Amino acid sequence: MKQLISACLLVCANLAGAYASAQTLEATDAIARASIPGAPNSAAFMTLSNTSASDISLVSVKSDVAKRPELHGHINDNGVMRMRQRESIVIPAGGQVVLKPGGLHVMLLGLTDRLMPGGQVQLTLIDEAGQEYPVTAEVVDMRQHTGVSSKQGAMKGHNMKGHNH
Amino acid sequence: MKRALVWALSGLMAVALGFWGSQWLPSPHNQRQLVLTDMDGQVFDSLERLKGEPYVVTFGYTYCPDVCPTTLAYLAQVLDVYETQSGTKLEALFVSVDPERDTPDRLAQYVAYFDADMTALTGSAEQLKQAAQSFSVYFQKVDGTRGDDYLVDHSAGVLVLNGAHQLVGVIRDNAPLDDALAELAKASP
Repeated sequence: MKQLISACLLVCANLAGAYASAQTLEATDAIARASIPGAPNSAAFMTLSNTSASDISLVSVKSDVAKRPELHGHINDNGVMRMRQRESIVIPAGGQVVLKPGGLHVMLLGLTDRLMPGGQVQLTLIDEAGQEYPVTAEVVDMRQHTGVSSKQGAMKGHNMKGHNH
Repeated sequence: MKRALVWALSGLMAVALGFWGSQWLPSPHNQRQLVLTDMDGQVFDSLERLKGEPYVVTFGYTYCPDVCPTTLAYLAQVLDVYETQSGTKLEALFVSVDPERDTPDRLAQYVAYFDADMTALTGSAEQLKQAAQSFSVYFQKVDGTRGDDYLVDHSAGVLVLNGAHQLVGVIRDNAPLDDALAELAKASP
């Protein structure tokens, strides 16, 4: 009985935790790039919305799909793309940050398995207080996500919109 | 009289300096050349293999987690649209600046994923240095403290060359399709 209660407490605590994180940080349009033959690394992108009244500073990421999942950003230095690990990605209170190709992204260095289109990748974003935010990213073939959507012209806006998940 | 001589000499020096400088500074009129190794392990000299043909080239590496796949996927589609619209199929080259990890075999698999007709090249450190100089691009290995696990900074974008192998255009990353097509059109005026 005692065990049952403690098990229940644990589940309840987990549910509460999940609820709290779902409330404060929402990830939408989360995608991970399907593996390219010959390439051992990939990346994940998403739009993060902070619905809370305080800034959220993400400092790390966990995932089973890569040996080294990291938060990364690019610095465009006169046309040279210098990709670097970020100490943090701050999502301002009530604000949004977009992780997209060529910008901020979750780096998946050293994939443990090939990422196949149609699959899913579980990521856990972690803020400086240790709060965890689970994210499910759909694995997509980036060849269909180039922004060159038709013969008529380039797609307006950034290429994270209008995906079918 | 003396003053005129000084002026004449300065003028001569300026011309000489200008000429000397033009040998080193990247000039759009310079013919660009790649001498590297192709996916079959054969020497690839762009001046011979692509003689008189316009082409596009981009530099990167297969371990590149974000920029290179984005660029190549985009380039493949842009080339496709260009071919449909103009009836001209442009040769496309991908130069790996990471010969330590990018074997010809790995490169062949990698580029075929984006474009079955794309040619992947790499070479010795010295060959790559010369290629980078010829095309005025930059690359530098970073984060090399973890053995085989490192990144390479490199110039992004796609370079467009005409039939005389002069650099005539650059497609920046995420350029709108119309801009990219305009750059490609410069290859075959």
